[in-house]
Amino acid sequence: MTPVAPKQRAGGIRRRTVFGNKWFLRIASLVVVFSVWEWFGRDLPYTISDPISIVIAGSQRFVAQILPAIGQTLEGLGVGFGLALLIGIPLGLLMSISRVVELALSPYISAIYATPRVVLIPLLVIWLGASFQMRVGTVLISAVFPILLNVYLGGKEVDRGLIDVGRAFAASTPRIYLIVLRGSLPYVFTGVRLGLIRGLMGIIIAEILTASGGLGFEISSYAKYFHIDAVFAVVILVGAISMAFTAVITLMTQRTTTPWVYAERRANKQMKAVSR
Amino acid sequence: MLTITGLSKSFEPSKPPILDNFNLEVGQGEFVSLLGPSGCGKTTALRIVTGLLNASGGEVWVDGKPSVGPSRDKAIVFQGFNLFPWRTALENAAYGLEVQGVNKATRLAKAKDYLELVGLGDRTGHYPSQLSGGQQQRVGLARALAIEPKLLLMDEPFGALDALTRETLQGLLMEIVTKKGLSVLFVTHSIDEAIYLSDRIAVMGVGPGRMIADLPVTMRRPRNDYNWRAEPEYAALREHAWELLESQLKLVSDDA
Amino acid sequence: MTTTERAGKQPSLAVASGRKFVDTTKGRWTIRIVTLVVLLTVWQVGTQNLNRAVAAPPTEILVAFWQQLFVTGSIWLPLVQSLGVLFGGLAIALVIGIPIGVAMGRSKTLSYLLDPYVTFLYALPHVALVPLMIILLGFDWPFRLTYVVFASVWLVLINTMVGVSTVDTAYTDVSIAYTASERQIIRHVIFPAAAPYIVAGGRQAFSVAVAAVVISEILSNLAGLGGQIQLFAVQYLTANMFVSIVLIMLIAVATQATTAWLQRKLTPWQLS
Repeated sequence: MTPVAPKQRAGGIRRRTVFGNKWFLRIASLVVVFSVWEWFGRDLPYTISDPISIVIAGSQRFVAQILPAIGQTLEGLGVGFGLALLIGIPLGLLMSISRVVELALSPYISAIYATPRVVLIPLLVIWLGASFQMRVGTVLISAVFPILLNVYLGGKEVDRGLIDVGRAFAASTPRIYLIVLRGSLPYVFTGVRLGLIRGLMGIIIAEILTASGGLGFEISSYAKYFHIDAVFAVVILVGAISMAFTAVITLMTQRTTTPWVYAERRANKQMKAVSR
Repeated sequence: MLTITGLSKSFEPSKPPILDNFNLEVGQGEFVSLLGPSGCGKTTALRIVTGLLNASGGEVWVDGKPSVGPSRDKAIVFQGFNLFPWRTALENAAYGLEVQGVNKATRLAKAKDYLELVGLGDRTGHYPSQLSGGQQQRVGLARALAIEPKLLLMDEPFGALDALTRETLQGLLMEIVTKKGLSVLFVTHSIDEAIYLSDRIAVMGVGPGRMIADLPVTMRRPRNDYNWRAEPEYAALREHAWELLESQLKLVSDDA
Repeated sequence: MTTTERAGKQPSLAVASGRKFVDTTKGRWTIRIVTLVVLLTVWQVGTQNLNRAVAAPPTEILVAFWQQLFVTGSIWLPLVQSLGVLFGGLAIALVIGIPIGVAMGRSKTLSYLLDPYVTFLYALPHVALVPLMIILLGFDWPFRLTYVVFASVWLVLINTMVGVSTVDTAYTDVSIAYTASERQIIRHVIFPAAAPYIVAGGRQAFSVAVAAVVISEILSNLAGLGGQIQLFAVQYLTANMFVSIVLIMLIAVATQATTAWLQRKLTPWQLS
C-alpha cells in the first residue's frame, strides 16, 4: 500500500493560508453555490427557483403579507412560550428538589418528552378549533417539556453543598429555590433554547394544518399557487428567525455561566481607555 | 456558649446509632476541637448543632437558648468551601447578611471589611474559579464572620488544602478568633491541628460516637509566634490523644 | 423545648438526613403505582360523562385498541407504513450523514466549504419545507421518506463531524508513522474513537425521525399512524384517535430505550 502524505494540519503551510482561511472558503462557497443556483434556477421557477427571484418575491410581499404573518406567528409563540416558562421552570425545580414529586412524575414526563407532541395537535384542534388559543396550546405542549426536563436535570446537578449554605444561614424556601435556579442556569438556557425551537416548529405545524394565518399559512398558500420563489423567501426567513433565537440564547448562556470572562473584558477595555 | 446533652442520632432504626448520649460544652471565648477518627459522627454532631440535621434525641443549647435550627448566633465554615460560583468573593461573603435582610450598601461594605480581615481585600471582585483553594476558604471564613455569630462552627475547614496553605490559614484563624473572642467548635481528624488551635480537645470515640476524653491545652494562645511543638505539653498531649484514637481505630477494624 | 420536640418544624426540603420511605424500593414503587392509579382514575371519572367528541375514558380506549388490533385489523397497515418510513428514512440518513460527517471532520477545508449550509439547514425548522416538498414530490411515501431523511440527517452529520474532528492527533500520528493509508486510518482509528459521537448522533436522529414521520403523515395524504389520528379527528372519534396516539408513544419510548441500550452496548466506555 503506497503511503499517503500526512494530512495537513489546520495551521497549514504559508502558501495555503489565504485559500485555507475559513471565511474565504465559506464566502467563496456561498458565492459559487448561489451563482450556480441562479444560473439553473432561472429556467426552473416551479421547482427550485433562483436567488434573485426569491429576493424580489420576498420584498414584494414583505410589508403586506409577510410582516403581519411574522407578527401573528411570534404572538402565538410568545404567549405559548411564556406560559411554558411559567409552568416548566417551577415544576422542574420542584422535581429536582423533592424526591416524592420526582418519583411520581418522572416516568410520565420522560414518556411524554420522548413522544412527538405533534400527535396531540389534532386533539387540540378538536378542542379549540382553528383559533389563537389552539396555536398557543400547541406552542405550550411543544415547549414546556424540554424546559421542564432541563430545569429538572440542571437542578439535580447543583452542588448540594450550596443548598447547605442557604439552609445554614436560615434562608427561606424561596431563597433556596433561587440558589438551585441560579446554579442550574446553563441547563435552563438549554431547555429554553430547545423549547423555543420546538415551539416555533409546533406553531408552524398548527398554522399549516389549520390554514390559520401566520408564517406556516403563508408558506402553504404560496406553495398552493406555485409561487415557489415566495415559498423559499419565507422558508429562509423562518430559518433566519430560528438562528437569531439560538444566537441570543447562546449569548445569554455565556454571560451567565462565565461572567468573569465578561468582567475581564470590561476591565481590559477600561484599562485600554485609561492608558490612552 | 454551647451545651450539648445526651445527643443521639440514628439514621436507620435497624442499624446502630451514629451518635449516642453525646455530651459537650463550649464556654464563652473557648476554642474546642472535636477530634475523632473518620466516621465517628463528629460531622454529624456539628451538622445537628448548625441546624442542618435533626437529632433523634437529646438537647442542644446555644447562648442559653435551645437550638432547634439554623440561627444568627451560629455560622458554619464548610470543608468544601461551598461558594456560589456565580458570585464574586464580595457577593459571596455578603450572603449571610443578605439572607438577614441587610441592605445592599451596608452588607457589601461589611463583607469588604471582613474580606480585608482575612487578607483578600484586593480580590473582592474575583470569582471562585479565579481563586485558589486557600483563598476560597478565606472567603468562606469571611462569610461566616460577617454575620458576627457568637458561635463559629467549622467542619474540617482546612482538610481540602495543601499543608502550607493549611498552616497559613490556621494561623489566620487563631489570630482572628483570639482578637474577637469567638467561641469555636472545630471538627478535625488531625491531632496536631487540634493541639495547635484549641483550648480543649474533645476526643470522640466510634460506634456509637460519644465523648471519650476531654483534654485541656494550657499552652498560651495564640500559638503562631513561638515554637509550640517544643513544649513538653505538646508531646504528652499528642501521645495521649494518639493512644485514645488508636484504641478507637482498633474497635472499627475489629468490627469490619 | 427540646431539639426533638421541634424536629418536625425544620424546613421541608429533602435532606440527606438518612434513608426515608422514598428511598426504599417499596417506597418508590408505591409512589409510582399510586400516581398511576390516581391519574387513570381521574381520567376515567373526568371523561365518563363527557361528550365523546372531546375525550374518551381509558376503558373505551382499550376497547378501541382491541377493535383496531384484532377485530378490524385496521391498525396494521398504517403501523407498517409508519415504521417503514421511520427505519427507511433513518437508514438513509445514516448512509448519507456518516460519510459526509467523516469527510468534513477529516478535512477542515471541506468543513468550511460546507458548514454555512449545514448550519442553516440544521437550524431551519424542517416543517417549513413540507409544503415545498409536497409540491415537488407528491403526497405519498417518496415525500414522507425524503422529509424524514432531511429532518434527521443533520444530527447524524454534525455529531459524526464533531466526533471525527476531535480524534486526538496522537492516535492518527501513530497510524501515519506506520504508513497507514487514509482508508486504514479511518477504519482503525477514526471510527472507534468517534463511535460514541456517531452513536449519540444516531440516537438523537432517531427521536427526530419519529416526530418527522408523524408530521409528514398528518400534513399529507394521511397514511400511517399520524394519518389515522387525523382521519379519526375529523370524525370526532377520540377513542380511536387515542389508539394511534398511544401506539406512537409506545414506539417513541421503545426507540428511546433501545437506542440507549444500544449506546451502552456499542460504546460502553463513553460519555452520555
